[in-house]
Amino acid sequence: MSVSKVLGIISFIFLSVCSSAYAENTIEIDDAWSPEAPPVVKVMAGYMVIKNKLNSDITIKSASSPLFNRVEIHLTEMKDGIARMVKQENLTIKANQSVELKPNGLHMMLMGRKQPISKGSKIPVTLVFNNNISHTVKLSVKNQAQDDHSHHHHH
Amino acid sequence: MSSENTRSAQKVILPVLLGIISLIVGIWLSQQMLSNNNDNKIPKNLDATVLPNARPLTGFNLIDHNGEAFGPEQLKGQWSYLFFGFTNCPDVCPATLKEMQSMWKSLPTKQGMTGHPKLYFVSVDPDRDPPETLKKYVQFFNSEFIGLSGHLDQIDKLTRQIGILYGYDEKENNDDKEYIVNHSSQLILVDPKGRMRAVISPPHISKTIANNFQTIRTFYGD
Repeated sequence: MSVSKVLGIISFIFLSVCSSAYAENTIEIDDAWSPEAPPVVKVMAGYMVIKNKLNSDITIKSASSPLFNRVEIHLTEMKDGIARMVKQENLTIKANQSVELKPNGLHMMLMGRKQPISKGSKIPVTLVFNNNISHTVKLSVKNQAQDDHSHHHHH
Repeated sequence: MSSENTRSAQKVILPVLLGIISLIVGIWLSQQMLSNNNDNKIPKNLDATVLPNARPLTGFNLIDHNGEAFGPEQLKGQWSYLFFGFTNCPDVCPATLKEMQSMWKSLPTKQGMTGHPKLYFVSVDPDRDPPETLKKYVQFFNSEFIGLSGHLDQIDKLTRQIGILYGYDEKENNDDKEYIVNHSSQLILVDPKGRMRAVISPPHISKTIANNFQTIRTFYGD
């Protein structure tokens, strides 16, 4: 193997490690969960708190999961008692602020489930931000949110 | 007439008049108390809009998730909740049905007992929600819940009487099976006479709904 190839590989590893460490310090995602859904439907929801630790706004450009055909972010808007889902093409999280995805509000829509997903399992979802940072979060499949608040808060 | 006769006449007329007046007042008062349509006596301070005049629901023909005919007659005999949605709804419908499941668990009554309500999930998306799908869907939340579906024109007969609105977002293409349906998310409480009695707007919180149900049920009777 040539020197340049070795250098190339080392740089790549170095940069990957840096960027994931960098990601940890810029974006934090907590309480990621998905309510266990009836097996008869192929759509599930994703909820979480996304914290932007940067001094500039960030925007979610795309989301994906190996367990679903596609992942979108929607906002449930209640207007005159009608629940309308508005697709969020670019969800922005302002500098040093958090955005909460929760029932009857902002949520991830996981569509086209590829395999059965049961309570207790984890759904990996990768979010790609406008600064090309990607962050993979694992949604805990459970019955309701209250389990979460007594559990981990990773830093 | 002599003054003596006048006085004895007065002795009879006055009590009789008083008697008639008290009788009329008594009847009127008891009518007020027994009447179900007292605007000034509907339960207040609830997180629900109680209709002063219950609205009969008529003229719709749906089918339940067992394929049995479901019409206005089936809403009679017990209290019922109606909720309109679709199974491919990721957020509002599961969240509401989960709250109703919690509410069911907190009810003092059990299936078959007097005063025990029913919950009907009416799909406004018959293309993707045939009865078999609805059955599996609702029973995931509670084995007592019942799914209703049917032709859109029949669904419309019911939604229009209640004031429920729904619409489909644009499909990506003709084969799109992932289109979104927007829909009213109020819970509708129907009385044992099959009449719309109350509207419960979101956010739906099981404890509040349960308390309101007991209040309304106690007030109007089973």
